[in-house]
Amino acid sequence: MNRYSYERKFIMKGDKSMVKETFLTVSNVWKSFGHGESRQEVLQGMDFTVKKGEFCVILGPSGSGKSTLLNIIGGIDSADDGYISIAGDKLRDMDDKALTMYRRKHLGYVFQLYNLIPNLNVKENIEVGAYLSDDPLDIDELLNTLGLWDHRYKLPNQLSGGQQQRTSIGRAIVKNPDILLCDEPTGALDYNTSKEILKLIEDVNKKYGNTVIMVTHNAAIRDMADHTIKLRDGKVRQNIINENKISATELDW
Amino acid sequence: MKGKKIRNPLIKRLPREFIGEWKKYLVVSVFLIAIIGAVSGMFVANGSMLAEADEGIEKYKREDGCFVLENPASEELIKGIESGKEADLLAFFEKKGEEELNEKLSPDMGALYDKALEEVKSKVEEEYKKAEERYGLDEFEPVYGTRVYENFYIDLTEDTDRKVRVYKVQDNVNTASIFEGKLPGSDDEIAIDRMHAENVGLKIGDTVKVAGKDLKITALIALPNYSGLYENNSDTIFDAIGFDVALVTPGLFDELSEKGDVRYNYAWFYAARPADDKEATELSENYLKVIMTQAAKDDNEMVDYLPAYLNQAITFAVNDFSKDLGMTTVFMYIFMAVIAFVFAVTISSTIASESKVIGTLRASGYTRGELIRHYLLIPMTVTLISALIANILGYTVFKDAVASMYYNSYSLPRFEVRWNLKALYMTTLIPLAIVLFVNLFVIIYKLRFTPLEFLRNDLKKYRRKNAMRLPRWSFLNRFRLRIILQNIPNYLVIALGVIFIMFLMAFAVGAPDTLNKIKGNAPDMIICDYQTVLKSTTDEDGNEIKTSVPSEKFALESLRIYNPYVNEDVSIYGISEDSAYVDMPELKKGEVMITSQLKEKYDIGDGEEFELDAKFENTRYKFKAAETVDKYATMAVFMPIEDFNEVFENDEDYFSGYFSSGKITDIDDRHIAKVLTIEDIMGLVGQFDHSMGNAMQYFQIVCVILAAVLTYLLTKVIIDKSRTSISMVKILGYKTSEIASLYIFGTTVIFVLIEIAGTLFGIGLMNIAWGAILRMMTGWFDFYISSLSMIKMIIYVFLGYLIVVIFDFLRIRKVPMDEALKNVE
Repeated sequence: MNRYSYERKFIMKGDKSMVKETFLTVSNVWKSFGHGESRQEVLQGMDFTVKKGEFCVILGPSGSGKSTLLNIIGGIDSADDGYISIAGDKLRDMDDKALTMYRRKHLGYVFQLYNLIPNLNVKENIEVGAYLSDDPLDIDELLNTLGLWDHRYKLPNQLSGGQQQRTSIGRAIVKNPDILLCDEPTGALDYNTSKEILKLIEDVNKKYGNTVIMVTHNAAIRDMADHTIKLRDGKVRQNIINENKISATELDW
Repeated sequence: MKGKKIRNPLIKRLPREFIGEWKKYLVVSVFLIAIIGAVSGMFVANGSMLAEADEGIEKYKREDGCFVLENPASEELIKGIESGKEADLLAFFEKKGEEELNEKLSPDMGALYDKALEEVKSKVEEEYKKAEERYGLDEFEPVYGTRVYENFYIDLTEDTDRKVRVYKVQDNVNTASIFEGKLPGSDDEIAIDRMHAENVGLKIGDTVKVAGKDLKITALIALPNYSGLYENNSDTIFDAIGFDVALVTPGLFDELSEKGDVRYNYAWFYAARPADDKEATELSENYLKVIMTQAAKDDNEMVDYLPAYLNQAITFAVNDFSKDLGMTTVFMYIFMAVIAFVFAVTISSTIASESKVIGTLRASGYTRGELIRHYLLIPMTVTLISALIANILGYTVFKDAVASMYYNSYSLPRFEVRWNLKALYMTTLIPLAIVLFVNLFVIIYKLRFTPLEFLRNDLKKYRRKNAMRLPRWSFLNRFRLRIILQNIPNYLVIALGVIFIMFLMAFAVGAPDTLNKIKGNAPDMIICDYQTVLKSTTDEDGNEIKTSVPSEKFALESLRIYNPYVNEDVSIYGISEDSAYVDMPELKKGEVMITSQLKEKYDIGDGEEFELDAKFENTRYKFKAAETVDKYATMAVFMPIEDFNEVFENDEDYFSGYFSSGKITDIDDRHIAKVLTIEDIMGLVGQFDHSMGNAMQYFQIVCVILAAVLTYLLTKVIIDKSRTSISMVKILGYKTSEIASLYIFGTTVIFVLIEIAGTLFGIGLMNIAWGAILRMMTGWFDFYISSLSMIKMIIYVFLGYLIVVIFDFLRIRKVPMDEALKNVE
């Protein structure tokens, strides 16, 4: 397939109430690791859909396959069977280059470990993300939104864990991606900082209308999501649309 | 609000990386600048000197060749030679035969006379046919438009122990480039070679004794036909200490001709200078026939013939520039390859340590190409900046150093610096290409993993399931072994570098060893103390020239062996039966004994046949190498004198001179062509020593520094890679000395092993390179390095390493304890 052909199918981002059509489809996805006796079925026929602009939480205990699923959605891993489709395009039909372009133009990644570049300051680390977009967000405005304006010239080792995670969110969001993939973004943070980060992601979701898919083992977080997929042993156990979601500031665990 | 498209921010890492690791990059840059700068300086200086030498051919009227006649040439002979045509020897000898016949018989005698004349003519024709075949006279193209000038010289003694070749001041051919002073104007003045003067400590205004006469030095000069002070064209190397060339007034020349033999040397110019060696060969082969036949027709004889392209005194310096440049450039490229691998190892280590960042960038959509370019940026920037600075220094500082090195060896005219575009690309683009090639390959290989593998820091395709089982050593030793196993690529690059350094070191240490060995063995390397070669074995009255000094007759002929690079002369000795000087084995007809030098240089196997050519004739001789003799330091063939005379069609009692242990004093100097003594070997050794001696010591120091720099850069990678572990064991309570013993001890053991292996490899490689170099020169001697020197090589380089150990210790001490804690987040 033409590596850019899927681009035209992505519609304008903006007010998330504008459109609510299915954006992401996970269809009968299987994934295993290892061979022979050590073979482990990590994903066993997973099915669900996510709508455009939704804040979706994938919840599950350790080893339930949530990170593997996120990696397959992010195009950095592949399914053994089944498919992922985004705006109608199936990732399995894309070659390596097309997948890279897909990630470059439409995905933002936030990891539990921030993986910032140690010899670039906060602003420059965010520029690393901005460089990938033809139409990035304004970095100064984003630094204010992230609460990092005063720290913009600091190097990562001069920042707290929360500030580092804010920077990594800034790096992911600055290219204004269609989908923001967050892999346990609060896993390495304390309670208060975790809530701050969750609030930030919530604000970003509201403000920029990106579809957020967050993987976590913290069950409390599902209360702030539009949609929760609960996994166990590689299978979707619950697929819940949350009609009464609350703000991140109200969460407690 | 939307922002603007921005430039790649990764580029901002570059200055910070340089600032953060300034010591490392400074060391690399200084070395790159030193090496590239030296080569650039060499390109500039050599290029300028070559251009000057080329222009000097016209400016100083350098000969196209020279020949020596037995007697001074008549005006008619010069005209005949300048005609460029072969003399009609057949008609000449027929006429001569007829004249001789007329002295015995009268033409009036009718049939008897006619028959005798017929016989004479037939005999002459028969002889001519033989000569025609022998000298290839029938294959000839005229050489029109040549000019021949007298350029006589006399070989005399200078002070007590040196030789000087004295020419008349003239302005037709081989005119002097004057460095200082003015050419002699009176009969007690002399101009001598500039470099010889420097070597023996003479200067303008000094007095020098030539053939017993005190002469005042008025000028220091360089002659275009003596850019290398070769006394004989067959010498292995020039001798700027024991041999000098000089100019004197015609009056003084005549006076000196009483004290030594005048060599009737003539220099010639072609109508147009030959464009290349091929054309020069064709012209000189034809011109040789012109001179030989014209001289014979004039009752004279050509005794030596040397076209410029074969004259080492003219060509050696220029060839040496090119050879040196070629060799130094190759050294630079090997060095660049080593530096490129150092960069590659450093980058590999950085990629490993930045694995998660790379995974994140790739997951965010950075392409592999963008990251490859990013990691290439540092080595390419360092190399480019260093190469540019090196080139600036090459044009300003290094070129003078290189020039002074050549002025210390050769008699060259002054030169002006000329821009050299080739220097720029050879010393900028090619080093960049080497660094690019090596690093591109390594980076592409290192970035071959998927984003997920980078994120998981899973960078080994064939990761072992469990850690390798180690022998049941103590915990500390197993710890050390683990460190060694983790750093095998670093050690491989250290090994590569150490082999290269040891190769250079083998030369730096082995060359003086080789010369010392020759010096020490020289007395055993000559056939006898005095080898007196006579011009003729009979005196004016036809009596055999004899001596009362105990001696032995020998016969000598000089032939040439095929060598694509130089003209190599081989001495053929005819040895008397039961010789007291040369221990001859039993040889069958056609068999000879050869020196091991001839055998080794030209790969002549035992019992194998080989061919030698007559120098000025179209004759080829075949010999069978039945035996080898080790001790003589010469390219020589030995055979019984009877066989010798048969092979060379001499009379049965022909001989060339005498071997003796004492100096022959009762033969008049007029009859002696040359006397070979131990000084002839020692002079060459002395020149080698003078040309290389000091340089070798500096070279040794450079090797030590090079070793230190290389190990500094690579052990830094090892320690930097282990910072977290070092920090962690510090937290556990290990002392710096204990940690150093863990991290440094293993590397030290490996380094010593690498050093020993590198020494053997380096010496092996040097042996090969030495052979290749000497095959391009005349003569041969084996590369030799003493066991003591091998140990010296290892110790010197190890001393360089010990300095690095101090830096490594300090580096380990500086690792903070929170390093481990920080990296856990």
